[in-house]
Formats: sequence, C-alpha cells, structure tokens
Amino acid sequence: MSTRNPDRERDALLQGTLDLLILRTLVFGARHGQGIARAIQQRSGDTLLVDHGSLYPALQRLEANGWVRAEWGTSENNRKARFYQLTAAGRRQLAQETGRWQRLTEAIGRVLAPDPTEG
Amino acid sequence: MQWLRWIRRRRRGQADFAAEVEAHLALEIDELVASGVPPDEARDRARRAFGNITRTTERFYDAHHAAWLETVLRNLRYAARTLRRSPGFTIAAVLTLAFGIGVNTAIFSFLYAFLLRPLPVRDAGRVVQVYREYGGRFQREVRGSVYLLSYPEFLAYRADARSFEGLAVYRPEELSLGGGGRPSAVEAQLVSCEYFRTLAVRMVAGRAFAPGECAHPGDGPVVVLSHALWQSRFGADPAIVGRTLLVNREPLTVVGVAEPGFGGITMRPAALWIPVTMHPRLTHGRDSILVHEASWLSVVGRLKPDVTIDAATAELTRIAWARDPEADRHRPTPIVRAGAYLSSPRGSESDRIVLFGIIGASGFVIVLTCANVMNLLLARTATRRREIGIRLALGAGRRQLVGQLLTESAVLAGLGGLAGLALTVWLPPLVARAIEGGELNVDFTLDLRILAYAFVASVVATLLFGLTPALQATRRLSGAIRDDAAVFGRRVAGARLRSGIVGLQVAGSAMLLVVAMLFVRSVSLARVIDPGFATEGVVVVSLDFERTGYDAARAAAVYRRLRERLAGMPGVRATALTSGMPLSGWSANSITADMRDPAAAPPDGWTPMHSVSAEYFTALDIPIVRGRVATDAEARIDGERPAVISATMARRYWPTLGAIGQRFHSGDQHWVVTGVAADVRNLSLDAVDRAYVYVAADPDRALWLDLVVRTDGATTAVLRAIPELVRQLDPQLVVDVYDYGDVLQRVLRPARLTAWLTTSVGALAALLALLGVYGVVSYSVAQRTRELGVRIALGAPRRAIVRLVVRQGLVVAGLGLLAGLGLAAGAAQLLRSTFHGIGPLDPVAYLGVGALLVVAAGLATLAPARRATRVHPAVTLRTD
Repeated sequence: MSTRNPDRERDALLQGTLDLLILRTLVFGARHGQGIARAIQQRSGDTLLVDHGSLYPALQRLEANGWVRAEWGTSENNRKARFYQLTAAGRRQLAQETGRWQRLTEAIGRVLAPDPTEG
Repeated sequence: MQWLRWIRRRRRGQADFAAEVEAHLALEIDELVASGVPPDEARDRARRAFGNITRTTERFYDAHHAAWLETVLRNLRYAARTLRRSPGFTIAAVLTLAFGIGVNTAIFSFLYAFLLRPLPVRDAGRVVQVYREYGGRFQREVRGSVYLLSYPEFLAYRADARSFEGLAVYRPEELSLGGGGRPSAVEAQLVSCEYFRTLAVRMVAGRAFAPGECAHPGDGPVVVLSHALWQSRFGADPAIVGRTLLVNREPLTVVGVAEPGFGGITMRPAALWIPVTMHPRLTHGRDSILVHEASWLSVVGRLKPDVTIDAATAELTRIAWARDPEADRHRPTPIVRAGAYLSSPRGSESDRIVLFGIIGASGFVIVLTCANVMNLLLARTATRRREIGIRLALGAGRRQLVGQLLTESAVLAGLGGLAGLALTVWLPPLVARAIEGGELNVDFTLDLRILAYAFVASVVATLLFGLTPALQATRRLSGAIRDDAAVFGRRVAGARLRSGIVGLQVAGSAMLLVVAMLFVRSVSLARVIDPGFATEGVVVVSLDFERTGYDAARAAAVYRRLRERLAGMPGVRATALTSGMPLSGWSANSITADMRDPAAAPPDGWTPMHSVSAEYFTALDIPIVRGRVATDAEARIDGERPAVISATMARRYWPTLGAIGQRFHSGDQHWVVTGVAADVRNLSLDAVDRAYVYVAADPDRALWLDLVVRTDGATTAVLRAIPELVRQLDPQLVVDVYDYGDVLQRVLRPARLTAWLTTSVGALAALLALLGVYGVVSYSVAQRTRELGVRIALGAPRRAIVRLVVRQGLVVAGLGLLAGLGLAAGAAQLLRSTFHGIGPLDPVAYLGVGALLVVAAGLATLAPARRATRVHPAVTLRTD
C-alpha cells in the first residue's frame, strides 16, 4: 500500500495500519469510503492523511477477506454511496489487531522512554 | 466458501467501482463546499486528496480480473504473433527442441518401460518377482543370474508361503518347433503349472496346465501356444487343441491357446509354454530340475490383497532358513520386487554406470539442443535490442519484458515438446527391436508419467535456453539501447563460449556421421540385397525321418518320389537336396589341400562346407564359373567325392594352376574339385565367403538332407501343396515347409537397422550442428551490423563482406570437424571388427563427411552473410 505524504507534518501510515484504522472507524456503524477517510483524518487530529485513492484497494481487500460487507445506499445529503459495514469476522479481526497494535506501541514506548534505573 | 466469495468479487464490475469513486469525489466536494470552499477549488482539492484515480482503478482491475491470467494470455498472443512473423527461426527452433525433448523423453520412456512399468498382466499391482541371494558362500551352478532360484527352492517356497495367491517359475529357452510348419527356433518358456493362474491369463481355446502335469520330473508332454503363434503358424486352426507338435523332437500335445496379446513377462515374447518338469526330456539329459545348487529359474508371484512386499520377504526368509541346514553359512536372502521387466536386483556397478551413461547422454542431448536454440534466440534478441530498449524506456517493467520473452521461449518449447512426442512414440520400440533383433513384448505406449516427463523436460528446456537471452536483453535500459555500439569490431562476452559449443556439436556430429558412413559402406544396401543366390521363390522342405524310424534308403525313396511329383507341378522350376541353407548354419572341416604350388599355400583353417545335389546351383541361381557340377550318379562313388568350391577359395588355393582337378582331404575323406562357383555369402551377409565347399551329396544318403524347391512365383501354392504330397507318400512323416525369404528377412533386419539408425542419428546431429553454425554466425552479424555498415560505407565490396562472414562460420565448423574426424578414427578403431571390406580409416567416409559438412556449414553461413551485405551504410550514422 502506498501512502503519500506531501506534508511533512502529517505522518505516512505504517504498512498494514490502514486496515486496522478502517475497521476501527466502522465499529459504530456503516460508513461510505469518503466518510471513512474523513473519520480517520479527524480522529487522528488531522495527523494521519489517508491518500483517498489507496483507501479503496484496502476496502476491496477487507471485503475479500470477509471482514466488511458493502452495499449501495444513500448518504445524509442524498447521494448514492457504497456503505461498508463490519462483519462478525471483521470485529474479531479488529479485536486481535488492536491488541497486537497496543502491545507493539507499548513495547516501542518502553524502548524509547528514558530508562528509570539509569536516570 | 472461497469460491463463492470469488464469484461475488467477480460480479463486481469496473463500472460499479468507478461509480463508487465518483460518489467519493461528489461527497468530498459537497463537504468542502459546505465548509465554504468555492466549487471549482473544491473539485480540485477532492481530486488531489484522492490521488491518482487511474492508478487506483488499475489496482482494482488487477485485483479483480486474475491479472496474471490476462498477462499470460496477452504474452501468448504476442508470442504467437512474433513467432509467426519469423517462420524460419520458429521452425528451426521447434525442430531442434523437438529433437532434444523427443530424444530425452524417448530415453525416459525406454527406461520407464523396462524398470518401472508394471508387467502386462491383469491387476499387475500385486504381481511381484522373487529372487534370492546368498549373503554367505555358496557354490552353485549359475545359468543366467545368481539371483535366480533352483527348482527345489521354489518347491519349498510354494509349499510353505502363505503370502501369495500364486507362485510360479518360468525359464525362457529357445527350442525348435517342428510339426505342421517350418522347424524353427521359437521363444519357449518352461513354466510351473500355476503360471497362468498366477498371472491371471485366460485361455481362448483349451485349458491351462493342470497341477498333475508338473508333479514329477519328466511329467507333462503338453504345450500351451501363444495366440500370435496360433494365428501365424497354425492359421488359427480351430482344431489345434489335441494336436501333437514336435518341440526339440519331443512330441507335445497342445492343450490350450493363451489369450491374445499375452507373450509372457519377459522382454522377448514367448511363443509357447511347456511344463518345467519337461526340462530333462527337452534337453536330452542335461537337466538341472532336481539340482539344488543351481540358479536358473525366475519366480513370479501374486501377493494376497493385504500382504505387503516386506511381509512376503520376511516369510520367504523364514522358509529359506528353515529348509537349509547350513543356513548360517549360506545366509540365503530372498528378495521380493514389484514386477517389472528388469526387476532383478542385478544393480551391479556396471549396470549403474550404463544407467548413468544413458541419463548423462540424454542430459547432454538436451543441453546441446538448448545451446543451439539459445544461440538462435541470442541472435534474435540482438536484433530486437532496440525494440526492447524502447519498450523499457516507455516504462515497461523488466519483469514484464522477461515474462514476455520467456513466454515466447515457452511457446517454442511447448511446440517442440509436442512434436518431440512423435519421436517418443516411435523411437523406443525401434531401438528395442534393433537391440533385441526381434519383436519385443514391451509396452512403449504413452502414459501420464511419460507426458509429465515431457512437460517437465519442456519447462526445463525453456529455462535453459530462454532465461539467459531474456535476462541479457533486458539487463539495463542504457545497455539495451547502447549495446550495438559497444561491440564495434569486437567480440561480445560469451561469443567464444557459444562458438565452442557449436564446435563441439560439429565434432560430435562429424564423428557420428563418419561411423554411420562406415557402417553404410560396410553393409551397403546393394550387398545386403544381393547375397549372390536366389532368395525369392525358395521353399525349403524338411522331413523328420529319424523320428519315424526311416533308414537312408527309404528316405531317399521318399525324396525321389516327392521330387518327381513336384517336377510335374506348375510353377516349380527346380528341386535339389542340401544339407543346409545359406546363412542358417553350416558344418566345417579342417581341410588339407593337395597343392602343387606350395608357395601360395594359404593358412589352413576350418573350411565351411555343405552337401548339395547337382541341381542345387540351378535352383539357387549360383553361377558355375569354371568346370562343371558332378552328376548325382558320380556322387554315389565311394572314396573320392566330387566337390565345387567357391571362386575366392579357388584363387586362394590354386592361384596359378587352376582349381579343376585339384584334390583336398580331411582325415579319411577325400574330395576332387570338378567346378568353381561364383562367390556368394553363405556365412554372413556382410562379406562373401573366403572359402566354401559344396560337396556332391549322395542322394541315397538323404537322412539329413532338406529339399529345396525353386518356384516361379507360385510360392504360396507350393507351400500349401507340399504337406499334402508328403501325406500321400507317408501319413506318418512330420513335414516342415517354409519360405526361405522369411528367414532371410530376419537375418537382414539387424544389419539394416544398425546402418539406418546410425545414419539417421548422425544426420540429425549434423542438422543440429549446422543450425548451431547458422545461429552463431547470425548472432555475430547482428552484433556487427554497425561495423559492417562502416565497411560498406568505406567501399568494401559485397564479396569481401560475404567472405568475412562465411570465414567466421567455417573456422568454427572446421575446427570442430577436425576434432570430430579424429574422434571418429578412434571410435572406428574400437568398432573395426564390425566393419567388413573396409578399414577403419576408409578415406571415402572421412573425406565424404568432411566435404559434406564443410559445404553444409558454408551454406549455413550464406543466409547471414547475405543479410550482412544488405546492411545499409546509413546505420552507421544513426546515433544511440
């Protein structure tokens, strides 16, 4: 997955994290692609920029894996859009991935934090 | 559920995806406009945020349309187009590959047929062969192989083993079959009476052997015929069962005819089967049936359905140890093998070397073939460099290009493999027949494993010859475009290697061609076809007087009456008596000649001779060049017997005096020469006899003489009439009648095949080598295009350019040729005993092959040379 980062202040997404973020934004209900992109951007405090184009291959992949389900619907402002929804398998995957992600960030945090015994 | 998801995925079309992208952009624009961005700018920002829309769509497409399949199909289409555009190259490459892959697969098929293929019987999976070796010391008589069993051993196994549904022995023997046909050697098999039941062979007539027929040594004067023998020899006689045949002079009753297609489980098809207990009677005393210390019987068994080979081995081992009081010293070790033609554990060092030799040779063939095609491909990619460079520059991925070039190679290899299958079908039976000198009982038909092998060979070939050119051609963008400038007047790396390979190919094919030529000249067709005596319309009648208790006088009377009747038959030109026919055995005496010219005395050796009646020479069209043939009346004189000698013998013995009237003797037998006959080939078709004596046969001593009948094309009628004539004379007499031409055909076949096989293999090898020369020269012309252009621009005449190019090819071919002729001289030295009439250094063969290859190599360079002269000087002006 390629992410573009024209703006230094915004961080490129780590490989594989986009899937996790998409699944997370779908926890509270179905969204369309643009909504997902917007939600990720907003929830990250505008730190993470999702290249909207790369969102769709990711969505295809999630759909192919059976983690999300999609169907055409109507947006709040009456536009036709394809809505994505978490499946049961998707919820399980999210729980698993979230746990892994937290363990990873914790571990990285510990490594990066000043060592209390030496301080 | 994977496939369901796949279908659902397939159902989502690109339009749907495009709609989703549209919706995304619309929503984004809506949102931006709502937050106060002007619509135009909102559209731009939405698009910017989305990134590359086309790329996203492509990724969707790649993920959803089994992109690799599309790529493969596109590559295939492209390959087909490119290959069609250069048919010369395509045909050359495909033929070369067909040869390489075909020969390889043929060799595999050959080995597979002998080593792995199940035996040609019903439910062959459970059929095993049993051998036994001794771990310790055990002196015994070995006839065939140390792994064979003795009859008492087999009896012990059969009595006690519970692992088998049936266990039987078989022993191939060549026996002579008389009675109702020509007395000829037939492939017979001595078998135990369970043989047919064990192999689940059905009878089309009569029955198989009954257990009682194998009870004791000497039992069972019965015979089962093969379907083929029943058809060919007895005209599918429905009353065959119950008839008596003479086998090795032993009268045997036909009890059954085996089902069609069954010829035993040995390589040479068996024509008839006889109980093994008949062995003492058939071999007239020389029997090993009760000898324990003998290895002479092959054993075949059918395992019970749930018994493994290991279990059967263990059981047989127990039995072998239990019955042998000295088992500790002998350490008998039974070996059970899945049934196959060559299942014997004779896996000795020499066999393994032969096997490695065969596999190595086939590897060599495929490597040489691939080297050839690689040369062709390199020459081709060299001319396509610019195309490839442009495509690289336009952004084609290297992987894509390599894939495309490899697809071309794969198409070539695939076509080559398919064509090679023809060779696979046709070559192994031919080779097997040439080796064995007769029809074989071996199944060479294609099956899945052989096809799989051919497929793998094609894939390997594709990688062998296709990968290097593909990688080289696409190595670097700059390299691809610049390359032809880089080699101005110089050789490219690897050119030397390729020339070396081609040189070796030329050497190998030159060697093969020389040897082939020596064979052809040695067994030249003209000589093979004309042995010096008549072979058409010759019928031989053999009467078995001895078994019927005739004495010489009665035999002579029968022949006299028979000849009188035959003389009256239409189509009969002459009849004669003889003790033997040409090319089918003779007797020899050490003779001493009474020479008045001792200086010219030839070294005395065994001189072959047979007894013939006066008409023999007329009957077989052997000209008498000097003197005359003694009449039958003269032959009756006791003491000195008249004889006719061959012309060469006359020249050797009495070079100055003339042979007529000269005398020679052997012990107390004395002969006087009355005539000299033209040289013929009595002993071997390869050469005329160095000496041959035709002794005048005394027609009154006809017990051991055969009757020769020369017909005028009425051979079939005569063949059919003779048994009836004999029956009228004496119904008790056993008569054998045969067409001499059939015998001759059998004698001729191996010689013809050897000459033919070496020639064709040599010619194919030469073709490969010439393609190699063509490839190397073409490549170098392509590489040197710019240099040639400069030469032409500077005014080099066409002829100089041609000479430049041709010379390069001829240097490679010439060096290879010299090496090849040297190798051939070595090989011919080893084979010298098989050549007749020519020396191993026969100049015609060497000069002929040399000239042929030089001319052919020159021709192979002509096409590239012509291409070279057509280089337009303008190419030198083009910049990179």
